[in-house]
Amino acid sequence: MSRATKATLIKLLTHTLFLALLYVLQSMVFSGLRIFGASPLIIPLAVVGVAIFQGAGWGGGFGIAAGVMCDIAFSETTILFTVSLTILGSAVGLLADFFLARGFPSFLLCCVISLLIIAFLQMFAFLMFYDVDKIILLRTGLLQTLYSCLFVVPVYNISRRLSRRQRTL
Amino acid sequence: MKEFIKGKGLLIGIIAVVISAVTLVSAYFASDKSSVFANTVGVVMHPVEKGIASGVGLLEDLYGYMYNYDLIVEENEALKEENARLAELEREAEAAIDENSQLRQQLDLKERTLTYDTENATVTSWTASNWGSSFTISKGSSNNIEVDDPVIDSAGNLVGQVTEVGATWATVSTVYDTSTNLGATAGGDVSAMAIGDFNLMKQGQLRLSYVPSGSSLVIGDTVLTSGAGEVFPRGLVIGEIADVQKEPSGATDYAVIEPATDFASLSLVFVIKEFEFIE
Repeated sequence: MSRATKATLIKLLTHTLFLALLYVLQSMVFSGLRIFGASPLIIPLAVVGVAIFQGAGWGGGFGIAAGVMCDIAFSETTILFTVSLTILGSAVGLLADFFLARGFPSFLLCCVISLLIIAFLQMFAFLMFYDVDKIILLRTGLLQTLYSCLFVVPVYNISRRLSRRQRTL
Repeated sequence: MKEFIKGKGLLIGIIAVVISAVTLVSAYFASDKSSVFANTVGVVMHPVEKGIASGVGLLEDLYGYMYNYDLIVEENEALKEENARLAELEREAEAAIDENSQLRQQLDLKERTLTYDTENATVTSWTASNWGSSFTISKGSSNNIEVDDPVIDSAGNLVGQVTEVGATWATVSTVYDTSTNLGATAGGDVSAMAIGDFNLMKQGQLRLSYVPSGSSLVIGDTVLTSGAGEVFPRGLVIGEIADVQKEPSGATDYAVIEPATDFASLSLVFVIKEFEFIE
């Protein structure tokens, strides 16, 4: 096995483990840690982290896998996360490849924008097809975004460590 | 950027479209309404979920024993008193059943009994979604559980409905989830619809809609399933009326239902796989 193949396999394995850990936390742990009735979304943060540090290719690829896992974790969505996280991963990766500095401020900005987009997509069906108080929808979306932002620092550190590890291999 | 779009970008796009198509098609055509990916991940992660659930349960039991001992003793005393009261009620009920049986014989009325085949399952995890209310249970299609099966608690109160089934797991949407839409009767004579409402879901409640204006509903009235549509058996307790309001149009009223199930401590549920009324 060539050194490059071995490095790619290790990279795939570490990212798979990272995603599995996030899935367990997202679907089995955070459901019991609600604040004001809201629970956080952490998988999209990891997509942004991988995209920022490893570019559009890995960002998009990780986005697909993360999206599938999110759609499985949240039974009310079928392909919403698969599509949106793939697009977000690729878009953030492209921005990082050409325009953005690969640092914490860019990561934080991209996370907040991504979380707001996802919250809007999640509330879209309620806005369109149900008679729901828009203030309550907005409150839910904002709470979800703010609570998720609490996990920006640990996800940033793990994403950065993962990318550094690959470079040293 | 053009290189990415023509190279990896195109490949990623194709993979995403294929996965989305497979998910949609398999979820649409599968009898259990779970996609091939959801079923696979569900089967693999199910032991982890069960392990975490039992670990959390153990910690809660330990915490309860260490810090809530006085409360447990108090609860035990209250349960003893309730047990004595129930024993007295049982004696009265036996007499009433005998009397009812004799009166039926005199009037030549056939007895109508609801029987159902249930499967017990434990709650393994709650959804982390902020836009719906559901939980996963420890049994699935391998135990003949199907989508749309009603789910009740140990007291026979309606908990929700199975919305997705994998081989060893199933997702149950709670009765106050926004997907709920079932026929109900309240206060003995009012027929209406129990409907999930996003605003009320946040408080663990649901809505009783299309209540005829000026009905005799009062706070505390029991809301039961009507059996309309034959998805839910008639007579399951949904909850009780917590509030009665007039619809903005003024033509009908609506009520807020407080579910009878204590969802905070729900750990064991019963899936009704089949039911019938025997005469």
